[in-house]
Amino acid sequence: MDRHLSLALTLGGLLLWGTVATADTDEISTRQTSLLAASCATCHGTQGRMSGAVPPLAGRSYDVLRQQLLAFQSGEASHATVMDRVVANYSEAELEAIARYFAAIE
Amino acid sequence: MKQGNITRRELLKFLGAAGAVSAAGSLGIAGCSRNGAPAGRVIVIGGGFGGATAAKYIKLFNPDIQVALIEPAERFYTCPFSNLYLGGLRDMQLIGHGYEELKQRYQVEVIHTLAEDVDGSAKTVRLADGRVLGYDKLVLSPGIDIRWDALEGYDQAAAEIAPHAWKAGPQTKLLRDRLEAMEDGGTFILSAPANPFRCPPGPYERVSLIAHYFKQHKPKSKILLLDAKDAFSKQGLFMEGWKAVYGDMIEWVGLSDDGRVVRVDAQAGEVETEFGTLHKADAMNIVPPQKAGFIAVRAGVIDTTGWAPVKPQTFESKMVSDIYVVGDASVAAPMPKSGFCANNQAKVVAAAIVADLDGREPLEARWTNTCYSLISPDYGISVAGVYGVEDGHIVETAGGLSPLGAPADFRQREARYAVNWYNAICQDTWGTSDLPLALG
Ligand SMILES: Cc1cc2nc3c(=O)[nH]c(=O)nc-3n(C[C@H](O)[C@H](O)[C@H](O)COP(=O)(O)OP(=O)(O)OC[C@H]3O[C@@H](n4cnc5c(N)ncnc54)[C@H](O)[C@@H]3O)c2cc1C
Ligand code: HEC
Repeated sequence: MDRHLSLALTLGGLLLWGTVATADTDEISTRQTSLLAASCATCHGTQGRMSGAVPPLAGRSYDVLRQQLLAFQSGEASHATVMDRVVANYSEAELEAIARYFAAIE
Repeated sequence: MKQGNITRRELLKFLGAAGAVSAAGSLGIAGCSRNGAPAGRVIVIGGGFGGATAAKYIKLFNPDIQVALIEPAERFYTCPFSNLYLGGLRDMQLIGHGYEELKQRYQVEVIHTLAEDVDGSAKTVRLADGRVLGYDKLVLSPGIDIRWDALEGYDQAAAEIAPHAWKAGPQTKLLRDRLEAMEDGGTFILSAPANPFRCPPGPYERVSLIAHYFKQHKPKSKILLLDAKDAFSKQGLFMEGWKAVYGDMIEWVGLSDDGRVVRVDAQAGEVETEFGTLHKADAMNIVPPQKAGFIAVRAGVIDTTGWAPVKPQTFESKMVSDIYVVGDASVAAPMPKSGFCANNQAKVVAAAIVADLDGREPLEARWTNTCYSLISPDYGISVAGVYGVEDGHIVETAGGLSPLGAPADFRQREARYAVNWYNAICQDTWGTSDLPLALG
């Protein structure tokens, strides 16, 4: 996104956030997703941008991220050392929202 | 470009915030919304894992909020990986972090001085340089202070001979000097405290990496770990690893077997345990009982335990409103006192403060923790936990330990991921980049 547009939108003050989470719809707001994804940053760098022993999460395809997260959760990702323990209790909707968040970066 | 219920445009707007901060800063309007009034003023006390993260994430979530961070040190030395320094695996310089990212990129006003007092009703903080600053919201992440009255013979002077090294810096260097001065065949004693204390696996990782150093340079030496408790974090995994890597070099003595140290004679290099046994050491590390940093006392947010009780959902103090306590100083059990938790708690607090200043309800709180420990440079283990709030209490909803009896390549990968974790959390907290993945 163009820097000026981003600046204008932010300084405009009126950020149009995504849908609000409600218990019966499984919908997860953008703010809630940003907070959930912030916990991943402790091992993957701010906004998942760090490249180290694990490739960056930022900017990867939604489908790949979603598939990887679900595979960690189901135990299919047999190479996992810790991701299986980390994502064990997230709902599918949460993992999808998080995958969308990282896919949208860059 | 709708993808489910979050549009790409909305996310980009959120993510654009960080870029906008520096752009806004160069226009001289940092911390103000367009009409010139700041969206709120937040003071953060402490630039460690909790405080630096809180300052950064408040700015990431809403750049219109003014944030000041009070921290005396210009460089923060992490306790995480200070055990690698002790084991000869990392330079001190690589565990130090500065505040450039917070200042330059996020427009946080970093003030390098000590906060001396907090007035929770006037909502002001008094600094050591005499200034008095007002706040709408105050975040305290002062870490720990040592309870100098808790262990007979162990005062500040004694710690200059027998270091605690439980705050990283000169104390850590002193301990390394003691280890280097020790003869091969000597005895090193570490005394570990009862719960709760900073970093439950810390003492056990420390003896592991000291054993690594001894094995290379002083292989006839012994390590005696005297403990004020009968069980410890990742015990099975540590014991398995010690046996496999160091044979009988490390002996652990728990509370029931007379492990609790009750008196220290630093000059004589001697400790006494509960039942009257005297142990002689050639080098000693006393990890004493701890409490929340003194500014939490000044702010009136601690109870009789010496720690600060908080509301689980937001980590706002249960005792004084508009003061939030994160990190080691807070009572967050079952979350451990770890840098990882401090970092995660700070993000939930940042979101709660941004929401409250905006007149919104707090988001649902969720925290992750993983404590990696290195038994040797290629032998890593971990315990992970995911936490949420149920019925007004913090509960662990998922997690677990590395498997016992895992093959060597699993331990090796976890060692590599431990370093990767350190690099990531230091990037996330202070913006430090390009830390090496290699050890040694
Ligand atoms: C040996 C060891 C190993 C560890 N290993 C790990 C690990 O592998 N993983 C992990 O997650 N955790 C680890 N920890 C734990 C980790 O260090 C702490 O949990 C973490 O530092 C807590 O963060 P905090 O923000 O509460 O306090 P700190 O990080 O200690 O930060 C507190 C800051 O507040 C400042 N401060 C205090 N009072 C004032 C005041 N009045 N005014 C201004 N500033 C003030 C201090 O100068 C300090 O910079 C380890 C700890 C030890 C001792
Ligand atoms: C404790 C540190 C830690 C945390 C927290 C963590 N990760 Fe990971 N992540 C890892 C490690 C280590 C791997 C490598 C796989 C393994 O060993 O489990 C990994 C791998 C991944 C991968 C696969 C990358 C690839 O290309 O192979 C994805 C996707 C991922 N993590 C996403 C996330 C998300 C999303 C979160 C937050 C919900 C998260 N991670 C939180 C440590 C972590």
